[in-house]
Amino acid sequence: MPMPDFSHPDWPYIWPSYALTFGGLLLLVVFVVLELRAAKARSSAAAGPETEPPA
Amino acid sequence: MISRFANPDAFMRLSGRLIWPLGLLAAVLIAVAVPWALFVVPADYKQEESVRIMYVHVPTAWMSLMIYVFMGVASAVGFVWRHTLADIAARAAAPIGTVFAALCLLTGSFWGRATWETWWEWDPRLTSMLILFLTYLAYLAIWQAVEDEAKAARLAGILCMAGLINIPIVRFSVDFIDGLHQTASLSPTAESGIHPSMLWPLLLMAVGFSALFGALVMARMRAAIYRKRAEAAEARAAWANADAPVEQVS
Repeated sequence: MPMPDFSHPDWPYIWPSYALTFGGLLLLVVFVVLELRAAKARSSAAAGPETEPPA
Repeated sequence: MISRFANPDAFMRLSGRLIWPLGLLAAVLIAVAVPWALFVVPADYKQEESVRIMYVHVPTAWMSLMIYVFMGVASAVGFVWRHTLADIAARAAAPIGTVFAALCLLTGSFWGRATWETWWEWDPRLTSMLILFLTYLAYLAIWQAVEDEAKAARLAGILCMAGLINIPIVRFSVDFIDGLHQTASLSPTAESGIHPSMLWPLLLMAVGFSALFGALVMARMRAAIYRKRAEAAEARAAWANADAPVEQVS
C-alpha cells in the first residue's frame, strides 16, 4: 500500500483542516459534557436531599 | 404519536439509554475514517493530495444542512403543536449546527486555497453557505436577546422556518449557477461519481458525524430539561419560603 506524498505542497492545507475540524468538535464535546454535568448538579441541588420514608 | 415522543420523562429515559452508544459509535467510526482518509485513500488524479480535505469538508457541509432541516422541522412542530420539547430540540441543535457550518466554511477555505489559489470567492455555493452560517448566528442571537422563553421560541422558530428556503439554494446552486465550486459528485438518485475507495471513508465520516450529532443534541436537550426542572423546584421553594409564617420577636 503506497503512502501519500507528504512533500506535496497541499499538505500545509490538509493538516490545518483536520486540526480545526477535530479540535473544534472536541471542544464542542467538552462544552456539552460540562453543560450537562452543571445542569444535572443544579437540578439535584434544587430538588433537595431525598428523605427516608418513616419506618 | 408526537405526544408520546414529546413527553420529557419518556425522552429522558430513551436518551439516557442512547447517548453513550451513539457517542461510542461516533468515536469508533471517526477513529477509523480519519487515518483511512489521510493515509490510505489514493490521491485524486486532478486535485491530487488536496482531495483529502473532502473527507472533513463534505461531511461538515452535509451536517450543517441536515441539522438546519432538523431545526426547521422541530421549530414547525413547536410552532404548530406547541410542544416544548420540539423547541428545546431546535435550540439544542443550533450551536452544534453553527460549529459544523463554521468548520465547513473554514475547511472549504483551505481546500479553495489549495485548488483555486484563493481563500474566498463570492461563488453561489460559498455565499449561500455563509448565509446559512449567519442564519444560525441570528437564531442563537434571538434566544439570547429575548428574555421570555415562549416569545423567543416563536421568533426563533419563524426565523428558522423562513431560513429553510436557503437549504435548496445551498444544495442546487452549483447545478444552476456557474461558479468555481464543482457540482455534486454524490446524489441519492444517480450513480456515484466517486470511486468506492474514496466513497467509503467519506460515508464512514458522515455517519460518524451524524452519530456524534445525535449524542450531542440529546445531551444538550437533557441539560435543558434538567435546567427547567431546577428552575421549577427553585420557584416552588421560593413560594414555600414566602408562605412560611414569620416568627414574631417580642
